[in-house]
Amino acid sequence: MKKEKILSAEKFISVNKSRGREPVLVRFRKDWMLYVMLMPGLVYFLIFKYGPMVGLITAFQDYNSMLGWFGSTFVGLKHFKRLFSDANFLNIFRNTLVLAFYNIIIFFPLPIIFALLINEVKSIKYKNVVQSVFYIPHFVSWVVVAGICTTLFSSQSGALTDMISNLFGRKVSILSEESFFAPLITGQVIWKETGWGTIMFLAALSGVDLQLYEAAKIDGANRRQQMWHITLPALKTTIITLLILRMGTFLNTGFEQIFLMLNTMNRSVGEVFDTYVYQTALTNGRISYGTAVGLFKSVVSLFLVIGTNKIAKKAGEEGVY
Amino acid sequence: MKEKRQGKRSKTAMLISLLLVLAMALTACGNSNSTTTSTSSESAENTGTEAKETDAGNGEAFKITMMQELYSDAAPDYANNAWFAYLQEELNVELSINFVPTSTYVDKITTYIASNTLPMVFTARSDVLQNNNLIMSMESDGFWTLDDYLADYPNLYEFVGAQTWENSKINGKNYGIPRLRILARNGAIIRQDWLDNLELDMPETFDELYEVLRAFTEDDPDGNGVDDTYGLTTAYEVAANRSWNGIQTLAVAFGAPNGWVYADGEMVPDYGTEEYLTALQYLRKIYENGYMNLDFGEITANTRYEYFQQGSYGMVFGVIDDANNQQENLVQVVPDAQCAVLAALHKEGEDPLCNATAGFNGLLMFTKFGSNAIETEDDLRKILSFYDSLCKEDMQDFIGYGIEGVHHEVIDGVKTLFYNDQGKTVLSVDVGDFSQLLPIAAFTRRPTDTALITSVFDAADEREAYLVNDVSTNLKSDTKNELSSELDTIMMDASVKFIVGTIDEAGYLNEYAKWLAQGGEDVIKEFKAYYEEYIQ
Amino acid sequence: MKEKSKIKQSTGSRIFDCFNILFLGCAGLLCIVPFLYVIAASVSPLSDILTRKFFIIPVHFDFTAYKYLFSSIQLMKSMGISVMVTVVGTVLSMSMTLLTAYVLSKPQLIGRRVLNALVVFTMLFSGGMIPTYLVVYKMNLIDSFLALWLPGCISAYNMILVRTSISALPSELEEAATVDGCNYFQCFYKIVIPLIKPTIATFSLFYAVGYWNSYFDATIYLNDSSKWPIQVWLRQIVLLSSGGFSDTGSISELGYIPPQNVSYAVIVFATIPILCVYPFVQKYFTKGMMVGSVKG
Repeated sequence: MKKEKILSAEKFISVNKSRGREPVLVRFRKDWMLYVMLMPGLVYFLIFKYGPMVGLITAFQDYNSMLGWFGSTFVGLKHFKRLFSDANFLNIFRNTLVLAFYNIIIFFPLPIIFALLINEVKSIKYKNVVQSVFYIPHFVSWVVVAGICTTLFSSQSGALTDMISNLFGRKVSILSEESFFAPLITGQVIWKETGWGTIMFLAALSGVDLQLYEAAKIDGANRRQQMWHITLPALKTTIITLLILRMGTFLNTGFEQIFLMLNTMNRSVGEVFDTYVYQTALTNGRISYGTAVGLFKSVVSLFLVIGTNKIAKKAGEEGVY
Repeated sequence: MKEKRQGKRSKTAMLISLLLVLAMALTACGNSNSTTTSTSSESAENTGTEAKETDAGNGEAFKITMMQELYSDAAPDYANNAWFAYLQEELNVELSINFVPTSTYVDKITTYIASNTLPMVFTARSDVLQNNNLIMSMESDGFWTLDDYLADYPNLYEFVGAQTWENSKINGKNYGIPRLRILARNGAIIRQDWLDNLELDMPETFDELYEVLRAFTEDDPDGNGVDDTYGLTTAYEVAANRSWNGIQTLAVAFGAPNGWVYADGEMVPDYGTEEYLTALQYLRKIYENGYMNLDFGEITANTRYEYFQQGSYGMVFGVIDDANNQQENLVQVVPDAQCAVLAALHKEGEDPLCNATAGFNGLLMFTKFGSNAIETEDDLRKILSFYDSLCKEDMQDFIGYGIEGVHHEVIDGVKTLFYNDQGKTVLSVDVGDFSQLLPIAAFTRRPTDTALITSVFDAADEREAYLVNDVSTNLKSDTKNELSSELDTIMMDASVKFIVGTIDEAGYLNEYAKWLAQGGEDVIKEFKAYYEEYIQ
Repeated sequence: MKEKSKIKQSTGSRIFDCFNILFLGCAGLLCIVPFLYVIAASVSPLSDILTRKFFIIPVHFDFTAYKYLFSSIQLMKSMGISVMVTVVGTVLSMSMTLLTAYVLSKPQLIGRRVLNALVVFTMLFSGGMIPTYLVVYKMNLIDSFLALWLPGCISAYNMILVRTSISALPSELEEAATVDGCNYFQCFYKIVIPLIKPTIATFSLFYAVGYWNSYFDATIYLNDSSKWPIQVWLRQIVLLSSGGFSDTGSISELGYIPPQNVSYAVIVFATIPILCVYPFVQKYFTKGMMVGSVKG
């Protein structure tokens, strides 16, 4: 703990040294190599990320791709008006939020917990085996996952349906009942992505100095205290960065997964922005409308990211910018 | 330690530089292809199979760039191919084809339109024709209309047939060559062996069908003493494909319109008719009694075929040409199984009513804009004469059987196709999905057809007399373009919920009122206006 | 200092270890069982799959699915293309990401905050498929493999996380090196890179998986079907064998439909190569990589 504080003090000094003490041009000439190294990345972002952003203008047009951006008529906020006045808009928003919250509150901590648990295992062989097995579901496509769920939970012939019905005391159909949708989707995400998510944390944990553990043990710390004071702080920056970045995709629920599990019965809780856009805009080629919905989502995410980043910075952490 | 690290690093540096060199070499190859916009035409040129000077009398071969959806798992190697060589030489053309996986076909068309590089000829399925982006391009005069030219190409005109040309008009004009399909395609497949075991006749009326489904579920048709059989399996299916899940087939047989009908000065959608509700009630009874799979509202179309192929269901709705495929998969599980096409259902004492498909699936369209366009009328005529020649009997024969000795051999006067190691016909490997770009009849009987396939064709022939057409096939409605998926979803969901029992009749009518309010009313008005102006 | 720790483990600690191992074991089984089913299904005959005769261990063996896959030359060629695209793409992406992350982590960079904010912005706002296609088209990259590598070269998400891990390095290391006369690039290459090996391993894996799984970009940017990576074909096979095509044409088509067990073989075929990569990555996750780098 002490070491960390000293480091940040030094960083603090070095940052201050370079900020405002010397005029910009002098810094520029001194650090010229840094800017040369920046060039490839900068050029990349300008051409392939900011260049295409011009296309966002289609959200305000009736985009005719044959005539291009300059040939299409400008319609202002027509598409946004249509989005907000859609009878289902609030419903879709609510569904998306519900899934987002389930995801962040239930799914997000799990890779961290699992990474810590794996870290605690003493046998390296067992650890390696468990790690390698955990991430396999990540490679199973959503189509297969949906197929597995149908096999397990179908009202007609699901392998687990009878067992679950007995648990609940009534006939349940997990695939169609509305109250099961969010847990089902979250459960799928947990199965598929937890293992993959531990990779980043395990990498961070491998950077922890073993001597810290030795010193703590000698100081009489038990395992719980070691985890709380050494292991967790090592993950803190990663966790916070990931959380802020997660805010950037808050309204994204993953189109393919939801689309596969959507059916007539659960549509009222299952229709989210991504599936809505797919059905109304992408399959029908209504590019402008699709762009408008995407733009709306992006703006919401922007506010979330700015907000979360500010909070993180106030708490003394390094934000994402 | 330091040396080891340095040695390792220089090795990695070498590896990286090697790979970068490799990458550059490859991209150099790639770049040389991309300097022109009609990319694959260059590869065709380099392989020397094109016909430049032929005896067709027109001098240089005419280059046609084309684009086609890829349905199979391999693209034909058309540059090195006896079939293509013959085709190009015979008709004095040079073809250059882009195959695109069907799942990304629409996106590819979109990017081609946006970059103005759409190939000269391309296929547009019926759903693709509903694509708003494509419609906008049509309205911006991006494609040639064929009305003025058809008279000069009698083979092509007659091959498609006047009625289909009429049906495939968009906004009153022919935007392309329709790809022919069987009209009477919708139906059901039933287990003939179960019918035989239970000594039942092929059901033809609704009561008979109900009795058959009951027997399938309760009377142990497979004779194994276990209560493991059910009558019907179907899936709710997405709104765009609603003709497959059986609801529409039944509804039309009960007398409902096929989607839309113009009667007594009114435009009537099937959702609101008595007969449609009768069909729903019929299915609801079947569901309640357990003669149907209980997860009807949850599963997808593929899963219902899986259920059928597992052997525990007696009947499945779908397109009748799937019968052969179902049969082949079913016998692997139940060797004695025998599939049959369900008879066309009819009310007692009346003729059957079959819901017709449009008779075509999409068009072959001809691009008028961009760098790959068909630029002049002359060029368009050259392409039309290419297609006209393909409609002649000798070329149709060539399409169906290929070159003798390479694709087929004549045994006892019968043309028999060759097969390769993977189980595919050599002809289908050589031609591949290019066949989608060719004018082909809706179905062709071959001497090698099995009894099942013959029965499918027979059914298709017989039912032509009883077809009920969807009037809205070539009607235009802006509201429908805007809101079709939302509107269809409302009513599809309502139908499914009614069958499953979640809502009752009042609830269904409620949903119908919602449908009307959210846009259905406008669609009715617009269809009516368009019909009265252009069609009547 | 190196004597073995003589502190006895409390019983609580041992019980925890027991439960931990059990729990992780169960979780691991849950993860691997469905995949074992897929492997078993890929070597079973179709009838066994439809009637669910087996669970993890196949009852009958039937290798027709694999025979079908391996008999296709196109599939083998596209496998080679996938490998090439993945390797080159990963190296390219990783190099660019590391370089940019290093620069953006330096506090003395002018406009650092703004640049980082701009990077985050690209994660949230995107022009979409058509504008990106037009950029690639205007740069004449259509039908070139560069179209697979360049548009997605740097993932902002990955770059931000790499930047975070570079920032976590103590600054004395570089300062010491600068005193010894290293410039920025040498610091980057000689000091930073060796120290963040676990990070490099992790994100190389992420990029590699991304490139390996990509199929959409290939079909959009590559017109020549002989250049497509294997995922495109595998997807086609899966769609085809599960009857996914509603209307492939008139009945006179004698198209061949591969049986359903081919889809399972495809999944195995597509996944196993990338699964083999992980063990190599794993060795970088050993604890205590930073030991000895900072003295005192």
